Formats: sequence, structure tokens, C-alpha cells
Amino acid sequence: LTTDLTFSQLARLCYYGAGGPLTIARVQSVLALPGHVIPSMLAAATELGYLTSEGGHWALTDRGARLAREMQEAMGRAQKTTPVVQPYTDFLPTGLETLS
Amino acid sequence: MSAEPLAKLRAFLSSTKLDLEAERTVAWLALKNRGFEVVRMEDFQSATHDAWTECVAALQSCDIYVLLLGHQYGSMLAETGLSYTHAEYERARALRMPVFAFVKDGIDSAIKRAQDPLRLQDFYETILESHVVRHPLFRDTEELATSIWGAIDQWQSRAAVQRPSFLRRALPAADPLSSAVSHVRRTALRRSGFAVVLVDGGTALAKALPTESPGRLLQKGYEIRDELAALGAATSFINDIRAYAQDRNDLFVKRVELAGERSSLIVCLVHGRADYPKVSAFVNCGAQVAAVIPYARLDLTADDRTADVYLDYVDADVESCALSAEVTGYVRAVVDEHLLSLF
Repeated sequence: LTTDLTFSQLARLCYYGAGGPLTIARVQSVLALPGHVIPSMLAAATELGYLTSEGGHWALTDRGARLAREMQEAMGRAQKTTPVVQPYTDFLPTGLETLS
Repeated sequence: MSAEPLAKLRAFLSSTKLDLEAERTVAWLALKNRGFEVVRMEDFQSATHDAWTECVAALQSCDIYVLLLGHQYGSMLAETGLSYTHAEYERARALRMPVFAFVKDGIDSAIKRAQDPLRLQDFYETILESHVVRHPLFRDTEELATSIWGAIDQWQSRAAVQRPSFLRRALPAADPLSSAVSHVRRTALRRSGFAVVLVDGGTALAKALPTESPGRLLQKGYEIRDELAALGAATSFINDIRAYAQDRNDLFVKRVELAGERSSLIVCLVHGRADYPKVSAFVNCGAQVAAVIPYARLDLTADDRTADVYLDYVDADVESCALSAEVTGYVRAVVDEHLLSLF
């Protein structure tokens, strides 16, 4: 492989890129990755033709927009079908006292 | 019932500080990314009471305990005779909190150089005996973030139960964004016809690894197949090649042809010297061929290298997770490279 960019990272980049220009700070906050790896990820996505660079921020190319659309459709499906559930913990939920 | 916003789960982040500053920041970000409110020493304010009292109060307010174990035992707490981190861990156990432990790679050699090697060794062994610790251990902050996400996602999806209406909190069963990425990956792989054939050499098991039970390597192959299937790559598994090769030669040849026609990547697991020539049967069948071999033990020469890619392993890797991790890591990289060219 010529880059360290994973498909998962690229898909996330494009998904967030559809919501507005990407900056290093924004990518760091949404992907929860250390700052020093972000520039190389953005450079790799640009090299692959998914992003275009302009004055310190990055925007989607047509190719990136295609992936972003697939992600948005999949997100819609995931949010619609995700059940609301409760993680079980073995101590008493503190909210119980409000029942009395 | 009112529709008040539901409280976030709280995670207590515990570790030594000076040697794990970057890791703490990444763990904090990773947990926040999964919707946790993270409690950590960096956010403690000046107070009239002592630091340990503050730690205990903070711990008691949390729902889960996240431990990062680096290469130092840490500063000591006089009251307990343990380090702050170790004492926090023991308190979390006493509180019956879910514990998630992440250990930094290289700890075995680091223990010898640590300021307090005996205590660090004892703490490390306690962690290993009491909890599942993801292997390979994290080597950098990116691997740490991935490990944390994996553990949290697994915990939330496994532990999730439907409950009646008195629920205090509600969390999604899984991260919708991760689900979306998986869905897009699977769909794209299916549309493009990407498939993997995993080949187990299937002979010389006892000769190759005399201390192993014969089924161990086969079992490893099944594990790898399952991991690749979870990745979304259509995976089939060919084993017991000796039977095909010697007794039903025509069928073996047919299977090789089909493997070449129907797959993008063939991964051959080779165990012994006698298995190695079978790799050649798959070379030039139309797909990329990767040979997974114990290169040093087989004493191969450059002329023997006929496959496109070689993944080297040593016998100890079969015992640990290293063999599965290397093969799945390689296939994941090939899959990613394929996917990056699709859109």
C-alpha cells in the first residue's frame, strides 16, 4: 500500500466532509486521533482523488461526494434500525430512587 | 414519564501520567467519541482534601474504569502501599465496576528497567489474570484508540439488554457511523466481486509442530476465516489438500482452477516443508497469492519463492494471536487498497 489511510478513515472523512470543509482540528475532534497523523491522512485522501485542498482546508471532490452519499444512505439505515437499549451493569441504577 | 435528556455514562481514566501523556489524551478523546463523560486527574480542581480522597469520590461517581498500563508503576500512595493507579484499580474492583485494561507493548522488557519492577510485575500479572487484555498490546496511540473502541463497542453490544420503562439511560446498541462504514464496505465488496480463498496446507501438522495437537492449526484457519468474513470479504476455506492432491488429483486441480476464477486473493497457510510445493499449484491461477510460511524453519531459498507475497511467522505465533493478526491485517490492507479504488 502506498498510504496508511484505511477505508474506514476515508469513509468517515468523506462523511464529515459532506457537512462542510474539513480542517485539521475538525478531523481530530470527530475521528479522535492524535493531531500529527491527520495531515498525512488528508494528504493521502487528496492524493487518491477524494479530497481537494484549498488554503488550509479540504473539500470533497466528485469522487469523495459519491462515497459520502453512500455513507449518508448507510447512516440513515443504521440510525433507523438501531434499537434503543440499555447496557447492563451489575450495580443499582441510581435513577431508581426517583421512582419512590 | 418525562422525556428528560438521559445521563451520559461516566468513565474513570486511570494511569501513570508522565510516561503516558499522549495515550491519556487519545483515550480521553476515544471515550468521548463513544459518548462517555470522562473523569481524569487533569480535570481535578484545587480542593481542601487530599488527592486520594478526590480520586475515590471521582471513582464512585463513574460507571466504568479504564486502565492504561504503561512501563512505570507510578508514584506511591502512603496509605495503601500501592501506587495511585494500582490503588484506583483495587478500589474500582471493590466497587464492582466494569474494568477495561489496555497494556502498552514492550512491558515485559520494560519491567526489568522499571523503578519498581516487582510491584509493576505483580500489578501486570494481576491484570492479566483478572481481565481479558487485547493482544497484540497497543504500540501507539492509534492502536490504543482502536482497542478502546473495540472493547467499548463489544461491551455495549454484548451487555445490552432490553429493559422495562424505568431505564435511567439509553445508548445505541452500536455506533451508527461504524455500522454505516461496515455496510458500505460490505456492499462495495459484494458489488465488485471481491473474494478470498484461504488454503490450509493440511499436512505435516505433527511434524511441523510436534507439541501441538493436530487440530490447532486447522482451528487457526477457521478463526482467520471468521475474522475475514466479519470484515465483509467473501471467504472460502480449502483444507485437507493432501487428500485432494494424492487421492483425487483431478478434483484438486479443479479446485485450484475455481479458486483462481472466483477469488481476488488466495492465502496459503503453510506449516511444513512438505506443504510448501502446494503453493506453486495456486501461482499463476489468476489471483494474487500470499504464502504464510515459517520461513526460517523451512530454510527456503530465493528460488523457492514463487508466491506474490510472503508473510513470515514463527511457531510461537500460532500459540499467540500473532498469526491470525498478521494474516487478517494483510488481507485488511488488500481489501482497503481495493476499496480505495472503487468510488
